[in-house]
Amino acid sequence: MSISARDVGVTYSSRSRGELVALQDINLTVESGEFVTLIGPSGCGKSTLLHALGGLTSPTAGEVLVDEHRLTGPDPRQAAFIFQDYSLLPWKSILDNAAIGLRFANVPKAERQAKAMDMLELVGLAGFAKSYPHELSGGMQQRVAVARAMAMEPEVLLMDEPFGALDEQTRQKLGYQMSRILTANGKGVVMVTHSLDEAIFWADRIVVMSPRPGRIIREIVVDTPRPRELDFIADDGFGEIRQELFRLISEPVTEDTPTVTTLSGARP
Amino acid sequence: MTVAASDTSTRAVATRVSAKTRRVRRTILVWALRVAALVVIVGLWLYGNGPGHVSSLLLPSLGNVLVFFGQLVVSPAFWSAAWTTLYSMAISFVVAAVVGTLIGFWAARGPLRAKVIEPLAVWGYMAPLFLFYPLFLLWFGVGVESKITLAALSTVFPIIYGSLRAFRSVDPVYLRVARAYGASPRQTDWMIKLRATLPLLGSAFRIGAAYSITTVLAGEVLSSTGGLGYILAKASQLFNAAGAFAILIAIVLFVAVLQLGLNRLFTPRHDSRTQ
Repeated sequence: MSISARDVGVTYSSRSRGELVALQDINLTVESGEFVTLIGPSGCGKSTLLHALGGLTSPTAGEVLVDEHRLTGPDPRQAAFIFQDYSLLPWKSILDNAAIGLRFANVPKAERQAKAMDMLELVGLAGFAKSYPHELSGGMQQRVAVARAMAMEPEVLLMDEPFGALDEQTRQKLGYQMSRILTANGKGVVMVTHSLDEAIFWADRIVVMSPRPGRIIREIVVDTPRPRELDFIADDGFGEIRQELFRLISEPVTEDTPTVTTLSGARP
Repeated sequence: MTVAASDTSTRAVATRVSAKTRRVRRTILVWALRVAALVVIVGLWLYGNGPGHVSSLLLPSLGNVLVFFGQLVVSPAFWSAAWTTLYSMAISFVVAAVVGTLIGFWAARGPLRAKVIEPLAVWGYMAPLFLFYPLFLLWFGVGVESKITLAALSTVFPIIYGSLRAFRSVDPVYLRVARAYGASPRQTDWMIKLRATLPLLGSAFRIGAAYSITTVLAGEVLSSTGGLGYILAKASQLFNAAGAFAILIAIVLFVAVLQLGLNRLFTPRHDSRTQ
């Protein structure tokens, strides 16, 4: 399976601010089994692109194709989302949360619970099946969200800054564990991140985007085989890519962003 | 993987234990103060009966009231009156809850509808609809029908208002999950929207129930052929102050039990969030 964006553009129009071009001329193909990370300055439309790839946002220009078929809405059996805020349903148990997509697909109860239980085991939370989301830490809740996505047996996981709300240590540990699990299960991943390290550690291919209007300005291939060990971060190749990414992202910005003079002028 | 969790969960258990003892202490204090308040009331009452020389029409002797209360709770007439009142409240409340929730749900589905319906609901909520009672007596007679219809009318507005608010404030995060995981529109309505609104809907129902209780009892006191309000009005018309006090106490207990049941029913267990 492959998901591809063809000349995709997304424009928001609002009464107060007029037209806002979030994405422009996006061409990107993601093959199943491939890890792609999306990185760029904040507000560059990374999340919008991810939502468009999964059918949560409809492009206002161009189209998204899944195996040559035009995508019209989300299909969790092909591409399942993992959101930054976990977004578990607080009134459902962990098991029912992990099974929610199967519930929506009307899979019989015994079958969906067995599947969800397998996935909770995979992320190491089988002992918490009967708990409720508010009883779990942030990192654990995000693992439930991973189990919920995996239960759909999707080809590709679409992850929107999945570790963004976690502290640095949990973030690194969980990221490492999840990248191993997903590699072992042959899943493809598209991940939005603002962390340079995360972008390189996860990726077969890093897609770098420009500030608004979001465009793809560069694709960088990382050819170190996955799964990678944590010490890959200390590798020379890693450092080179990191420098290159840093340069691309912190390049002087265009004139439509506020200038430094106005900021310092406002200081008392 | 569970190693990462064990450290934080041990700490969580430790704080939970001390939080539990704190909670128990707090509960004991609250109950002790409640009992103290009751003792003060009884003390003032006894003082008024004895050294205070308050007229027995204003404040009948506590002993007499308790005797009447004892007779009241074993008399079939009291229980049939309680049944009439309960039945009127239940019908008016259920009708208002169903109709009010449906109207609220329908109105919340579009900004135009919400704009039109919300001020109407607020008006019905605030206006003293009880002033329509003489007309309702004219239309439906002095039997239970006039109480049920007026109580349903008074109850429906707070429920429309509350459910409209509830359905409009469903967290978009839940709707996004529903969409991303392939929920049909019907599944989104029943499994996400309705469930997500339960805490707010529950408080709308509690307010509505209070309206229903007040309206039914007041209607019975003013003009009726049965019910707790009716026997209360009759006792005071016969200058039976002690009997009236006994009935009042019974009504207060009746309402308290009802409220307790409603609170249990409409307070969902797992609505706390940590996000």
